[in-house]
Amino acid sequence: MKKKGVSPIIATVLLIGLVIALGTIVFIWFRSFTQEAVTKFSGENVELVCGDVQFEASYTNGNLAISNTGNVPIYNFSVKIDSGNGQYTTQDLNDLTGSWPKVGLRAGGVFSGNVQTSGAVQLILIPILRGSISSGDEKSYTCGDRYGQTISV
Amino acid sequence: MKNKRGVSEIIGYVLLIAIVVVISIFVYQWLKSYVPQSALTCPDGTAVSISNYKYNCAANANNLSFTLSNDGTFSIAGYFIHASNNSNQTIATIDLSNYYTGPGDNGGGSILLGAGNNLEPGQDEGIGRNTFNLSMTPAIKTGTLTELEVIPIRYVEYNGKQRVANCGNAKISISLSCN
Repeated sequence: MKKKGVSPIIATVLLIGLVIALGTIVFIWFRSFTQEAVTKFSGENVELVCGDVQFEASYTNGNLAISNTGNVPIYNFSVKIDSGNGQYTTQDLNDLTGSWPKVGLRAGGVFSGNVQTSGAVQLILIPILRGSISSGDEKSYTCGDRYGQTISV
Repeated sequence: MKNKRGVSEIIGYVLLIAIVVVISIFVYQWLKSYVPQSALTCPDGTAVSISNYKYNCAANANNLSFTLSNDGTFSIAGYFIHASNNSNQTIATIDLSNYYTGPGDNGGGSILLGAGNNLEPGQDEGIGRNTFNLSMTPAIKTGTLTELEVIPIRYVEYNGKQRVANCGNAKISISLSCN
């Protein structure tokens, strides 16, 4: 009986090609669920750099004071304003005050500015860092809430 | 049937290994940014103190001077200096480096005591060095200062380069009064 079929070599090549194609499709699909990595300093992911941020902050009579006591420049802050009844509003610090430096707060830098937060019982300051993406452009990254600091108003 | 045709085993192995190597390169490129690197830090054991300060807050004088001592085990390169004119504010936010009149540099908001880590442990930098004329420009008046904060800085090697490290954990504060 003559059995017809694909040559084993062709079958092997087809199988390998199929696996590579499927792997590429899965990889591209999976990448859509992950953010483009923002890196800082010598290629370290900015999420890891958030853990090295150190700062002190206080709020007195409408004046917010911040001191960058670490070695990571802080580009901006995301301010969560707690109204005390479980409601939060979030704004960037440079929108709340006109005196925030455009380049952010370098290591050792200090800031003092008027920030009006009517009705707030506390503020949570979450650092925003600036890093690079693969194309070489700069991109901001807001650190997780656990890196924020709560100050009473 | 003796004549079985198929891909040579060697070619099969080579193909499999090549595929694994290519996939691992993709995964490495994606994950390498998540490898933690050592942070730029100041060594523990860095410490300074301020003594013999003279603060003249008269309108026609308004200057400040003090002796800075290295009480730690590592030499330092300089310091950040901030002051507060509000006793209710716990953080000093007036940058006094703009008013520095001592020898050396005030670079990037800091006071540098030379080109390297020049203040050795046990050494002092006296009144002739750490002097600040609070009447000079910028014209923003400092007001009467109530508190002084000093944070030492030190050159450390980081990624093959000398970088200035902010020793925030060695920050010191003193209350000021006119004398």
